[in-house]
Amino acid sequence: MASLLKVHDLTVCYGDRTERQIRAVSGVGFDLVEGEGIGILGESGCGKTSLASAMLGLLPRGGYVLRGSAVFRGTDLLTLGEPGLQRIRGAEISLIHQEPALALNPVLRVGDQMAEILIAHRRMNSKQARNEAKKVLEQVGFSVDSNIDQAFPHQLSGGQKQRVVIAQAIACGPALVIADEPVASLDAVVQMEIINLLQSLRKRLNLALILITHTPDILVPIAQRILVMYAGRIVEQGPAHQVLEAPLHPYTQGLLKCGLDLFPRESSVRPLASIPGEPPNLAALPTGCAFAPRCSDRMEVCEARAPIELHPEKTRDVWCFKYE
Amino acid sequence: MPQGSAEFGAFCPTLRPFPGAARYQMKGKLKFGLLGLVLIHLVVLGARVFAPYDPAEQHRDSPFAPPMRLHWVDARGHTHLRPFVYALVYHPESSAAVPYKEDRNRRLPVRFFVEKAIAGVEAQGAKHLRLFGVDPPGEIFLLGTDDFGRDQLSRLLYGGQVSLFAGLFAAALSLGLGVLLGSASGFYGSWLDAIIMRGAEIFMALPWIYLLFAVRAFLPLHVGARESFFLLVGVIGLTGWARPSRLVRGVVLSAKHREYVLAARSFGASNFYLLRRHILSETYGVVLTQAALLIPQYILAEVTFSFLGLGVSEPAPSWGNMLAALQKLSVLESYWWMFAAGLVLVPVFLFYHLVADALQQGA
Repeated sequence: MASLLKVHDLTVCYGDRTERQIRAVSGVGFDLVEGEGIGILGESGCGKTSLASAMLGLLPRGGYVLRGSAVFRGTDLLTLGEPGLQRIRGAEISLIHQEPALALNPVLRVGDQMAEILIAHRRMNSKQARNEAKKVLEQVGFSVDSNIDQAFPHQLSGGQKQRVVIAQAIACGPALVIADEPVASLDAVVQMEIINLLQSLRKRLNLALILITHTPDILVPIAQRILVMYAGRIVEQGPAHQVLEAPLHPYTQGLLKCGLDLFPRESSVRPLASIPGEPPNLAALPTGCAFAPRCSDRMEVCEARAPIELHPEKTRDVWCFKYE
Repeated sequence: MPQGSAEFGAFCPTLRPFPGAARYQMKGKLKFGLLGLVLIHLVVLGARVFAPYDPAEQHRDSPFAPPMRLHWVDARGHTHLRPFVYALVYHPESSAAVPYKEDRNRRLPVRFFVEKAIAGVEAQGAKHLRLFGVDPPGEIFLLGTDDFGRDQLSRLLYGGQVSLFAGLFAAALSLGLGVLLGSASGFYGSWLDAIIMRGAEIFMALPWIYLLFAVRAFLPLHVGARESFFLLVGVIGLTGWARPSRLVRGVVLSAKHREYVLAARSFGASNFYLLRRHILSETYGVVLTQAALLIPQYILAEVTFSFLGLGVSEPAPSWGNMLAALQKLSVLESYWWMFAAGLVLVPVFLFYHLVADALQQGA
C-alpha cells in the first residue's frame, strides 16, 4: 500500500515565540497508508484538535507550527501556504468538525452548501453541482426522494446534519478524511449509525480516515491502528485490538478503565474508575514523563527524564520506562 | 393564596393579544412605510408629467401668488363635475399682505392630460403631456408661487428629485464604503483594522458642514446644478461611512468565528469567498436598518446645504434652496405656502423611520 501521509516531529505552539509558550503538540509522528483508518485517543486538551488543525493550516490565531513536517502525497502541507492548502482542503483532505449543528450555515439550503464545495474544487456549474450533490447525499444514506437538498439545517436532526457534513467531506472524493470528535454531540444510537456510515464509506471509497476521539468504543469498527496522546505527545501506538485489549501505557490503561460497562457480570462489578489528578499545564510541562504526577506505576526515573520510544512487542510503540 | 395576584402580574409584565403579534405588527409597519416611500418617489420621479409647469418657468406678473382653491360650485351656485379655479388678480397697490383676489368671473376649468409646450429656447416649442393644466392664458398654482412667480408645486416635485435622490445616493455611497471598509477591518484584523478604525474615528470627529465649506472654497464660484449635486452626494457620502463601517465590523467580528465559517474554510473556501457568502449575509439586517436611518439624515443634510446656498444652485430647484426664500423675514411672515418644502420632509422622514423601526424589530 502506498504511503499517503507521513507526519514527522510535528510540534505546535500557542503564544509568543519566546517564553510563555504553550506546546499543544510536541514531536508527534505517524504514517498513514491509503485507505487506512487510525484513531487518535486522548482526553480533552491533549492536543488532538491542534494536531488536526495544524496539518491543514487551520490553527486559530496565536497558534503556529514550530517544527516538523506533514508530507501528503509528496508535498509538505506545513510549508505549502494558503493558496495551495485551499486546493487541498475539501478536495483531497477533508476535516469534519465537532459540532454538526454549527458546521452548517443556518440560512443556506443543504444542497447549496454541498454544491459550493463541488463548484470550488471541481469547476462544475451550479446545475451540475446540485445534481452531483444529490448523488453524494444518497451515498450517506438519504433516500432519493427525501429532497434533503432543499432543506435548511434547522429542519434536520443532529444525526442528519452530521451526515450532511460527512457528505460535504466526501463530495470531492478526498483521499483522507479527518473527523474531529464527529459524534461527541450525538446520542448513543445515532453515534453508532454515524460511525458505521464512516466505516462503510471508508471501505467503499478507499478513504483513509483519522478519527479523533476521547471515547475508545467508537474506534472499534473503524480504526486499524490507535495513537494515544497525552499532553501533546504520543504515549502509545499500535494495532487497534491490541491497544484496546491489552494497553501498555498506564495512561491508556486508566483511560480504558474509565469506560462504563452498562451490563456487567456480577463478578466484574466495580466502582466507576477515574484517573486521579488532571492533565498538566502545557505551559509548564514537567521535565520527565508528563503523565508521571498522575501515574500509579511511577518510578524515580519517570520524573528525571523524558521516556523514549520502546518496543515491548514488534508492532507496538510505547513511551514508558516500565518496559525498559 | 397570599400575594398571588401580585406575583402573577410580576411574571406577565406584557400580555400580547396573540402569539406572533409583534411580528405581524412589524410587517404591517414595513409594508405601510415602503408603500408611502414608493408612492412619494414615483410622484417625484414623474415630475415631468405630474408638474403643471417647468420648474424654472417664471410668471413675473404673479409673484408670491397664494395657493389657488379648487372649486366645484361656482359663484352662481351651479355645481360642476369638473373642478375649476378662479383666475387671480394682482393688486400691487393693495395694503394687504397677500395682494391677490379671486376673479369670480374668470372660471378656469382644470383639464386633464394636456399637451403643453416646454419653456425655454432650446426646447424649440416641443410639447409633452402633463397630468393637468388650464387653458392658456389662464394659470394654475395649487401651491402658490415664489418671488419670480414660479409654480411652487412644480418646483416641489422637481426639487424632490434632487433632495430625495441626493439622500439615497449619498446613503448608498457611505453604506457601500462602510461595508467594504468595515468588513475588511473586521475580517482581516490586525494593522488593517487599526488603520481603518482610527480613520473612522477621525471621520466621526470631522465637523462635516465646515468640511463642505472648505471643499466648496476650492471650486469655482458658479457650479452647475449637476456638478453641485454630485459634489454634495460625494461629500455627504464620503464623510458618513464611519458609523456604518463600525457596525458592520462588529457583525463581521462575531460572524467570522462561527463554526460554519471554520467548516467552510476546512472544505477549501478562500477568505474572499467566506466573506462574501457566509459573513456578509449576516450584515444585511444592520445595513438595511442603517440605510433607513441614514437616508432621511442625508436628505436633511442636502436641504441644509442648499438652504445655506452651498448646494444645488438656482434656477434648479431643491427643497433646500426653496426653503432659502424663508431667510427673508417678510417672506417668513407673510407667505405661509413657502414652507411647503419643509412640510413635505415630515411624511418622508416618518415613512423612513417607520421602515427603520420595522427592520430593527425584524432583525
